[in-house]
This record gives sequence, C-alpha cells and structure tokens, in this order.
Amino acid sequence: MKWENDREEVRDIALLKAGDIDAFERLFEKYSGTLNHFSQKILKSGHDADEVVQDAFLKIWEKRYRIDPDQPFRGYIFTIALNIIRKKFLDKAREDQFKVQLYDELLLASTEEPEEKHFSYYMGLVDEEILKLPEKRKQIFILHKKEGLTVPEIATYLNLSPKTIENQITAALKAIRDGLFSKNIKGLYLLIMLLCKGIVLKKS
Amino acid sequence: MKEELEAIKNFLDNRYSKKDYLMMISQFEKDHSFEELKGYLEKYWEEGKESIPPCENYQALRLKVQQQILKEELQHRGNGNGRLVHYLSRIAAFLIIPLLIATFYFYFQWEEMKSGETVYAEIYCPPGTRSRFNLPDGSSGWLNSDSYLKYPVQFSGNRHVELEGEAFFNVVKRKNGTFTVHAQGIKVEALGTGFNVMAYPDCPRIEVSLEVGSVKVTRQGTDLDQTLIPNQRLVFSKTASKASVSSGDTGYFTSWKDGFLVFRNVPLEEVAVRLSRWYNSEIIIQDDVLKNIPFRATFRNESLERVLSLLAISTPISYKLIESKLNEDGTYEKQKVMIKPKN
Repeated sequence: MKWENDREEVRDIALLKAGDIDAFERLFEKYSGTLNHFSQKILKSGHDADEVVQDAFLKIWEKRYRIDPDQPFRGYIFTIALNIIRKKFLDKAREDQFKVQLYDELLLASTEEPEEKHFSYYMGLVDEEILKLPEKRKQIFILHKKEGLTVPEIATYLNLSPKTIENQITAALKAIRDGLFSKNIKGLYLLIMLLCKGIVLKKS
Repeated sequence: MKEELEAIKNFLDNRYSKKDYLMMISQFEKDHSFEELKGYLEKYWEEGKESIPPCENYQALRLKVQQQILKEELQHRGNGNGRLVHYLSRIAAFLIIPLLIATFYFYFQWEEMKSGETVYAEIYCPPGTRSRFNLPDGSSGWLNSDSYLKYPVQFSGNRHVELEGEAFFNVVKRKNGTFTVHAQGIKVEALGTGFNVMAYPDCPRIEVSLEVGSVKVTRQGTDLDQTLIPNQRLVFSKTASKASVSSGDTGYFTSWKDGFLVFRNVPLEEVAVRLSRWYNSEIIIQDDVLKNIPFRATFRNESLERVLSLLAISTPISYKLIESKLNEDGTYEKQKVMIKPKN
C-alpha cells in the first residue's frame, strides 16, 4: 500500500468515526496545508483553495461513519477534494469563457506572434485590468463580454445610445490591451522570460 | 495520452498555453477523461510533500469549519454524544461570547437610544473590603463594606445613582443637572460636593454627612426637605421616620474611606454590626443588656482581635474568638466572635 496510515492516524480515524472532534481537528491540522496547496495549483485562486479545504473537511465530518480505517486517509481526502475541485474548475471555466474570447480578440488586433505560454500570464492578469476600468465602462464591458448582452440590449438597459456603448467597449478593450501588453508585446515577453529565468535560477 | 499529460503538467506549473487550458477543461468535463486526469493528479498528490505546514489563514479556515459543523450539528440535534456536546459548547463559548458581548452592547445602546431607557452598572463591595469607584461623569468616591452602588453607564441630564450601604461621593459640578443619590427611600440631591451617605438595610438609621458644598435631603411621602451646609450631619430614623441635624466635625463619619473605623457613642449592637462588616466576621452579642452600651473609639488598620481587646478594656464586656472551622472545600468559615458580660 502506498499511503499507509501511521499508528496515530489509525487511532485518530477510529476516533473520528466515533465522532471525536479532537481527532478531526488533528487530521485537519495535518492535511489542510497540503490540500490547500494542491487546490491552489489547479484553481489558481487562494480563495477557491480555501473553500475546497472547508468543503472537503465538512464532507469528511458528515461522512465520518463511512470512513474505512484500513484505507489510506490521504487517498480518501484526495478523492473527496478532487470532486469538489472538479465542480469548481468547470464553473469557473464557464465564467472565464469570455476571457478566452477576449484573448483571441486582443491577439487579432496585435501584429505580434504570441508566445504560447503567454496565455497563463494573460489569464492571471486580465481580471486585474478589468477591475482597473472606470465604473461605468467596467459595467458595460462585463455586460457585453461576460453576460453576453448585445450592444442594443445594453443601450436599452442602461438608457444610453448604442454609439456610446460601442465607444465604451472599444475604450475598455484598448485599456485592457494596453495594460496587458504594456503597449508592446515584446516588453511583456521579455519580462516573462526574465521572470522564468529568475525562477529557474532560484530553483537550481 | 502523452499530449494530455504535457498539458496537465504545464497547467499545474502555471506555464500553459490556450491549448493546454482547453485540454484541462475537457479532461475535467468528460467522465472517462476525468478518471485519467484523476490518476495523474493522484500521482502528483502522492509525490507532493508528506505534509505541508498549515496555511497562513489556517486559523480562520479552522474557525469557519467549526462554525459550519456547529451549525449543522445543531440542526441535527438529538443524536447526542457527550464529547460532541462538550466540543460544541467549547466552540460556542469561544465564538459566541465575544458575539454576545457585542450584541448586548449594541442592543443596549440601541434600546437606550430608542426608548431613552438607561443601562445600569453595579458595584458591590463585599464585607471586609472597601473600594474606590469612578463614575462616568468624572465623579468618584469610596464604597464601604457590604455595599451596592448602581449607576447608569451613561449619564444624561440629571444624574441618579442608587445606594445600598455606605458610600462617600466626590461629585463633579455640572452646569445643567444635579447629582442625586437614592438610598433606602431617601433622596440626597447635590451640586458639586463631597458627602457621605450611610444607608444599610439592616441599620435603623440613614445618615448623610456633608464635607463640602451643599446637598438637599428629601424623602417622598414625608415633609423631609433639609438642605445641609458643610460639616452638618443628618440622621434619619427609619422607625420614627424623623430626621435630626447636628453640626460638628463630620470628618469622623467620612473617615472610613481613609481606613479609619470611628465610633462616637455608638451602641454596642451597632458596633458589632459594623465590625462584622468591616472584618467580614460574625459577631454575636449574647446578652441583650450589653446591646445599648455606648462606645467611643477610633481605629485605624487594627486587627479584629486588637479592636476587641480595646473594646473589652473600655466597656464591661469579655469576648471569645471561636476557632474557624475548615470547610470541605478547603476554605475557612467566617471568624466568629462571642461577646459576653464581664464576670
């Protein structure tokens, strides 16, 4: 068996099954850090990772009667957590769909050939750029890109002219592109390369 | 499968392309590919460090989980379990006490604003002790043994406090609003002054002594309406419902706050009561004849035994200290004293 429970853990799991909250807390202390780290790797968000830890341990408490003390507990946590992560990942992917489209739009407008790995940086940075937009512009942009409303729909909804809406969306796109690419995709590329090297150097 | 593995690896390392990202989504989406993904991630999880130390916000997370468990367990109450109940009460105390304090605080503040009702604080000074107090308006004073003082947490307009027992007040003058002590039916109304009120429920008299300033003493339902000037002392007899005013040095009557125990022609019966209070002991006079013997003395920082021996010299009494019994819980019973006529 790969993940054999040590003797203390076997005892804690038996106690947990009996409803012992102190044993539960010991297991929480032992695994929450690892689980948090793992979830963050996949969900790329500290907040989401925290939620996974919470939900997973609540589930463990709820289902404590069904835990098999002969099976590795580490594996049990993994199974519970991954199911939670799966749901969260897919929900988020749906929400983030517009960011992928936006990426394509921005690339079309750019004359530079994109570096493949840019995408991960883009995904990490685009939210920040959207947040930086002025309030009204941000609202229009999100209605259009994220909620998928058409320009005439937004115009009616906000009681503004379609021309204004279009201008706002164009301005928003430009601001995001400028923010992301720092007006020059090569500048960002260089920065990323430097960062990567820095990380590699640190590791070695 | 090699391609997928590469994509997952890139994704986990945060160096992924759009293609890698879309691959991750489809891996998660379909059940059969999810099983593959699970297998890969399981290895990743396994290879991870044995145990990563609890994260930064570990405490906050732990609290949240506890709260959730508490909430759910309370919903399914009934499948009781000693340990769980113990745990729940532990979290409950931990979480709820600060919450309760805050809630009460806001509730009272709100109630007070809403209804104009006042929130009171109470000080109790147990027998054998005296303590200094400070009131919210800046007034201060001393509370004598076995006395209660109740006062509003926030004074608005006229200031009112309730007293049971004895206290000396140093009242701060306020432009608008008097300071009133309610004690056993007596009202002592003051502007900025220093005065003493003695009103123990078991004492037949209520005494008000004024050091500086001026106070007005009234009692509802009687024609008592007496304004005192400094160094005047008012004695109200509860039994006769009559007041008498005498002049002289009131220092004797307020000196308890400085640790003095002063008796000026006080009947022995009352001496016994005051000593009981002052020394947190039980003093029993065994012969009624002795009760009315007047006594005059001043003590400061003397032990009960010394006070009794002086008492025995100046009056025809003898006394006997009864050895305190040791209680089961390791505490001693109150010191008992028997007072008898001298042979």
